[in-house]
This record gives sequence, C-alpha cells and structure tokens, in this order.
Amino acid sequence: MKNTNFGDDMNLYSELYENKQKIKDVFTGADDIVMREFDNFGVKCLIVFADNVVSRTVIENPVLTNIMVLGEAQSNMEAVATKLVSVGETKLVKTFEEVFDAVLIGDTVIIMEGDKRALVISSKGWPSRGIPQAQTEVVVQGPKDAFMEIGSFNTVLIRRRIRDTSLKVRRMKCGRRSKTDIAVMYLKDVAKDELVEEVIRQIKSIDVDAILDSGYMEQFLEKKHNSPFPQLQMTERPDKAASAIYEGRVAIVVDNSPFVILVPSTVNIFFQASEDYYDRWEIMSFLRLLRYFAVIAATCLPGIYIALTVYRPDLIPTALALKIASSRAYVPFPTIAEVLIMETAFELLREAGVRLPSPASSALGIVGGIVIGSAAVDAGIVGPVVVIIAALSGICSFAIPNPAFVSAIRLVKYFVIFMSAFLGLFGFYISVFLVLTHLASLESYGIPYLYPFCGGSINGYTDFKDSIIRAPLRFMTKRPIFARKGQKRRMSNNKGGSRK
Amino acid sequence: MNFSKNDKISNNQLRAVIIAALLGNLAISAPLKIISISGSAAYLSVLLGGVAAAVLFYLAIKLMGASFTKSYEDTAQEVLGRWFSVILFLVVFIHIVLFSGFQLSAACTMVQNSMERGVNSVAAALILSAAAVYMAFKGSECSSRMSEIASVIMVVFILFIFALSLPSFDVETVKFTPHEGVNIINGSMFAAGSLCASEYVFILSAKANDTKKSARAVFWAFIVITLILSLGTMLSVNAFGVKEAQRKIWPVIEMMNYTEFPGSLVERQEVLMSGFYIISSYILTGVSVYIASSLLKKIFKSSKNAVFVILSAAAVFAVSLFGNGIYEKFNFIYWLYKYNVIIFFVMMIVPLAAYIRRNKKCGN
Repeated sequence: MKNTNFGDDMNLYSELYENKQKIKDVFTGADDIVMREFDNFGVKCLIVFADNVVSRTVIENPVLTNIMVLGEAQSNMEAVATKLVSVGETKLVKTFEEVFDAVLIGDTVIIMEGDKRALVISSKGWPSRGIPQAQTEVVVQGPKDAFMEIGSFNTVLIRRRIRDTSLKVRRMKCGRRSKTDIAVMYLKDVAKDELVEEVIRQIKSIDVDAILDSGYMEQFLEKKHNSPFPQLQMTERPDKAASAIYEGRVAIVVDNSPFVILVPSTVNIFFQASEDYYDRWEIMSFLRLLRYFAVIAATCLPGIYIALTVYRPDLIPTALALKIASSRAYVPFPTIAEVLIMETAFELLREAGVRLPSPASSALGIVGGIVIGSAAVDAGIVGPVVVIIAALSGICSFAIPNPAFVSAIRLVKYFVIFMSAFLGLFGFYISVFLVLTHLASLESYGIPYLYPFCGGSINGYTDFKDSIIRAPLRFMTKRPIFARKGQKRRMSNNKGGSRK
Repeated sequence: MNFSKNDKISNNQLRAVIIAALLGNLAISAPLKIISISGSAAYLSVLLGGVAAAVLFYLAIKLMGASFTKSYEDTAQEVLGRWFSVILFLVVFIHIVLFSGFQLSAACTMVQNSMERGVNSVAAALILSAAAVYMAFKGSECSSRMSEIASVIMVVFILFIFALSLPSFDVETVKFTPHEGVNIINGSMFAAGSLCASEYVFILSAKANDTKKSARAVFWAFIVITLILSLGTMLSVNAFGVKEAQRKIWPVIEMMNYTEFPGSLVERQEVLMSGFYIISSYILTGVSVYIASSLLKKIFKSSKNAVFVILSAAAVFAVSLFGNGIYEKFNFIYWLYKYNVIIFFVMMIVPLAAYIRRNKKCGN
C-alpha cells in the first residue's frame, strides 16, 4: 500500500541537510519523533526514531556506542551496517516512504552524509502488559496463556507451538493511515494454496483508514456481512490458533489486537473448546452434547414457552399447566411482554456486568439476581416460570465457548420469540426453518457453514468424529476438511503409539 | 474455492432432497388412498410400488447420465429445439406448480387442524410460500444442505415413533389372503404413481456433481421412502384398523398420540411431531419454486432470478388456495399422483432424444 499520507515515494538525497529537512517537514508537530545529529569519526550522521516506541537499550549500546565511540570512520551505510551495528535485523532502504514507515513502527533509522541510502535497525520496544491469561476462553485443564496486543509477540506464541519449517508467516500492512501489521500464518504443505491466496488477496484489497482491531478485519473478510452469525473464528488462545494451523486453516494475526482470526470456520468449530482435546473423550463428548443442547435451549426455550402457553396450553401436562396458570394469575402483562421484560432485563444485566469493573460487576450480579429472581415475581410483574425460562436460556448461552456465536444466538432468540408470539407453534417451526436455511446458505471460504452436518460426504464423513461427540484422539487419524489433498492423514497407522 | 461450483449438488444431497421433499408429504396423503385400495395389505402395495419406482428411476437416470453433459433444461433445448422445449417446460412447470401447490394446501390444512389458534391454512400457505422464496433465492446448494438436515431429523423422529409403536404390534392385523392380489397390484400401481415425482428427480440429478452415481443415490432415496412409508402404513393399520386408518389424515403422526411415551413433558406429542410434515412441505415448496423458476428462466430466456422465483412462489400459493379436499371424494393430490406417471414418460423424451442423437453422431 502506498503511503498516501506523505504523498510520494521520493528517493533519499545524498545531502544530509536535505534529508533532515524533508523528515522534519513531514513530522512537524510530531514531538515524539526524535532526530539527532551525531558524528562517526568525522562523518555526519542523523538518527531518527519514535520516542518510547523503540527500545533505548538497542539504540544506545549496539548502535550509538559502536558508531560514535568503539568503531571507526566508515564511508557508507553498508559498511556501518556490517561493521558497526551489532543488531540482528537491519536493512538498507532508499526512499523516504520506507524511512517514515520504519520510524512509525518503532525501528531506528540512521542516515549518513553523502549516502543516498538509510539504515533501518530493528529496535521495536513497544510498551506491553506481558502475556495475559485467557479471559473469554477460559479452560480448567490446559495452557493459560493468551494473545496480547503486540502482533509480533502473538506470532511468537504460535511459532512456539509449531516448530516446523513449513510454518510460513506472510507479513503485510493494512490500513491507509494505521498501517497495521498483519501476519498470515499457515502450514505451507497442509493449507490449501487457493485458501492462502484468497485470504491474502482479500486483505490486500481492504482499503480503509485504519484497522484498529481484528474485529475490523473480520468484518471486511466476511462474505455475508448481513448475517448475525460469525463466519470467521476469533480466538485469544495460542493453542487453539496452533491447532487450527495444524488442521490446514489460516491464522490472521492483527497487530494491536489480542484476538487472532482463523479461517475458514464452520458452525461446528464454535462448539469446540481447547479443553476438549486435553481431557478424556467420554466426558468431553458429553460436554459437546451439552453445548449443542445449550444452543437449542438458548434459542428455542422462550419461543416454545410462548407458543405452548399462549396457543396450545392443552399440550402441557395438566398439573404443570395449572401451576403456570396460577403463577400468572396476578401478572398484568401478556406472556410475550412478560418474556420480553425478563429477557431484556437479563441482557441489560449482562451488558452492564461486562462494562463494570470486576468487583462492581459481581455486586451487580447479586442485586440483579435478587431483583429478577425475587422482587419481580413478588411485585407481580412476571411469573416465576418465566424467570426460570429466561435464566435457563441465559445460562445455556454461557455454555457456548465462542462469544461471537453467543451474540448471534442472543439475537436469533428474539426472532424465534416474536414468530412464536404471532403464529404459535407454526411460527416457532417456521422461525427455526428460516434460521436453518440462513445457516445453510452461509459459506466460509467455500466450506458450507453447517459442515459436517451438511456436505459431510466431501471429506468421507470423517469430520463427524469431532462434531457432536469428540472421538478418542487415536481414532481422529485424519485432518478435517480444511487440509489439502494428500495431507489428510495426521496420525500414523499405529494410531498414536498404542501399547503392545 | 466452492466445493459445489456452478450450483451443483452432491449425490448425497440429491438423495436428501428427494427424501426430505417427498417423505413427509407422501406420508400425509398416500397411505389413505392405498389403504382404501389394498386394505390390510397396503404396506405390501407400498413396498412393491416403491421398489418399482426406484428401479424405474434408476434405469432412467442411467440413461440420462449416459446422454447428458449439461443440465436437463439445456439438454432439452439442445435436442428438442426452442419451441418443443418451451412446450415441455410449460407442461412440467404446470405439473410441478400443481403438485407442490396441492401438497402445500394439504400441509396447511394440517397446520390449521393441529395448531388451531396459531394460524389458518391460507396464512400458513402464504408464510410457507414466502419462506420457500427465501430458500429458492439461495439456490440449489442451500436447498440441498437444508434437505440434508431435514431428512435426518425426519427419518430419526419417524423411526422413533415407529419404535414406540412396535410393542403393541399384532401380526394378525396385517395378514392378507391371496384373493386380495388384484387389490395389492392396484394399490402398488397407485403407490408407484405417487412416488413418480420425476421433475425433482430428473432436473436435480442432472445438477449432481457426479452424474455417474446419481442413479444410485436416487434409487436409495426411493428405497428409504418406500421402507418408511410401508412400515408406517403397516403400523397405522395395526394401530387404528383398516377402516379407521383410511380416515386418519396423518396416521403416522397420530400414532404418537396413542403411544405411551414415558417421561414426556408434553401431552399430545403428535402436535409437536407435525413439525416434520411442515418441514417436508417447506422443502418441497422451496425446491419446487427453485425448479419452476429455473424452467421459467429458460422459457423466457432471462436471468432475472428474483422475478421468476417470486412468480413461481405466487403460482404455488395461488394453487394452494383452491384447497385439496383431502377428506372429500375428489382429491387433487390423488389425481396428480396418477398423472405423475405420464409426466415421467413426457420428461423421458429428453434423455431418449439425447441418447439417440448421440448414437447417431457416433455412427456418423
């Protein structure tokens, strides 16, 4: 992407004064850009860097001390780079645009009198908060580390888990002004070439001022942007990203974001948690089933409650129907209003809880619980059964490991509620069919969104082993559908070292 | 990147579409008539007729696979010429609109009867037609994926109902005598006719990714439908008796009401189970609208998908308004079941002509 901010890609001058003047002009008003002239045993040099973005230790010891004190006079930048600067990563550049880009991302630039080239020294030293713990994808058993805001650290966290020469990292920039660093990571011999090329093409085609978070990137990469369902997976867990790469998927690391994007994604993936593979298959299969049930309950429970109580109370067992009727005797609102009041209150509590600091949010939870659980029923605003329905629906939505998918379910739930309220059981059925049809129409990089429940035959139905149940690891011998042909097997025939 | 490029579907999806679209609708309407023809041996008529239809389609698609390199519509235009193909498309269009319209009407009558206060049959038909437009807009891939899910759900739950009904099964109730042979044959011919939904089979199988295997997929689809329909007929005759079973509009589902389901949270489970018929109607209407719109596009040589999808859905909805009269003497669905066989042979003109033309070319 051209640096449109500076207008051109002019070559550097041989006169140091002219170079300094040009850089000064461009960075006028940017007080955090440091420019200092110094002397290499008689040869005038200029150092440029962004304050606090660079590592001072890198600049002072292996660069300035060597050039000014310990070294000797050099005639050109190439000699400075090879003889004086003892830093791992350096490169020579020729244009102002490259100089500006280097300074802005935290590298140090040295320009020498009489040389039309500049030396870019890698010296990034951004402030960081250390490797955090996962917040949204918490596991009991398994690694606790999570991605952070520095993209290059995130690639390291992934590389630590994939010590394979096939792991490729394609770097690029996105955002006209933000010039956000993007790293596309994949296994060259496992990921499909067309997938990698398509991802890179899409990223390169994004033309926007800034990419501030991977959420921006996600929305630009999604094919159907009018769908509430996430078509790409976001994860904050390096182990999950590494596992996806091993399967032939592509990870997109966006600088300044603690979430990495994984493509392609199917609905089944949103039910998978990292922990599923760290514990025994029986219990994890049970939990998978529970999650699928949770999604159905979170989406359908309020809707089916309305359809049955309003339109067909005769379908409910008599004792239960009588209890529901008696509990609603003093409630002044219709069932739909009752359900909507409870659901909205629950959503508000959830939203407020997310925004508040942790101690306050737990207090809010207690207050909200008391208000909703007891006071609303005592005041006769809602019946106790609706409280149970809303609470169950809410709890079920918490059981799903992916927050983006949970958000979609929360939205779809209201569609089911309204359809059931207006058309009864028929409306409930139609709303479910429409949601399923919508899901059936979605694709993520050519893979049906409902895979393996639709199109499971494409990969010989092997992906069912990691869907509603999680088969024992030694039976999951083949990679999922994402891997290229000829790279389907991920385990040798001895099925992972079974004992004789 | 797409696995099913150019609006193609896999053979498994082809099988699923046929099962999802036909199973529920046939289970509503076919058993009544077959029981009235064949009596307690109706299940045998279904079995014979179903197997005959499966074999017939297997051979027909084999012939089609050998002669087709393009879609059914394109091949028809190529071998019959513009005007003959337009006439053929119109005949098929009218039949498909009538077939799905009356099936929709039957399903919506059931909605009205079973869900009472929820919605009346006209509103149900309108809503289902609108939903079908949404599915048809998304193309054959979406319909086939949806069908995959629908077929699994339907088969699993229908088998579940059967499993619950089996303990009370009495072999005596479904015994038949040799002198019922003529009735059984008559019933099997009606069963074969009711299964001859050639528009769906021919047009969709030409869209399969691997046309060499589509005959097998269609064959097994009909075998699955036949077995379930046959078992359902047998169990409903056992549960209600021959006379009563003829009066039950949806015997398989109504069995649920007479079957003990330990630990059920719902009374009258049959009302909840009726959802499977609605999903079948939804798939049938969606696929019909999709096929009808593709025929209209060919007739008018236009690519305006939205216009023709809406037109086709409006036609299906309009037909559904006539009402099916499922309890009455003249039943449109039964009438169309008979004409299914004629449409089968009308549609076979295209593969036969293509086959002859290809052989001629090879001879030259």
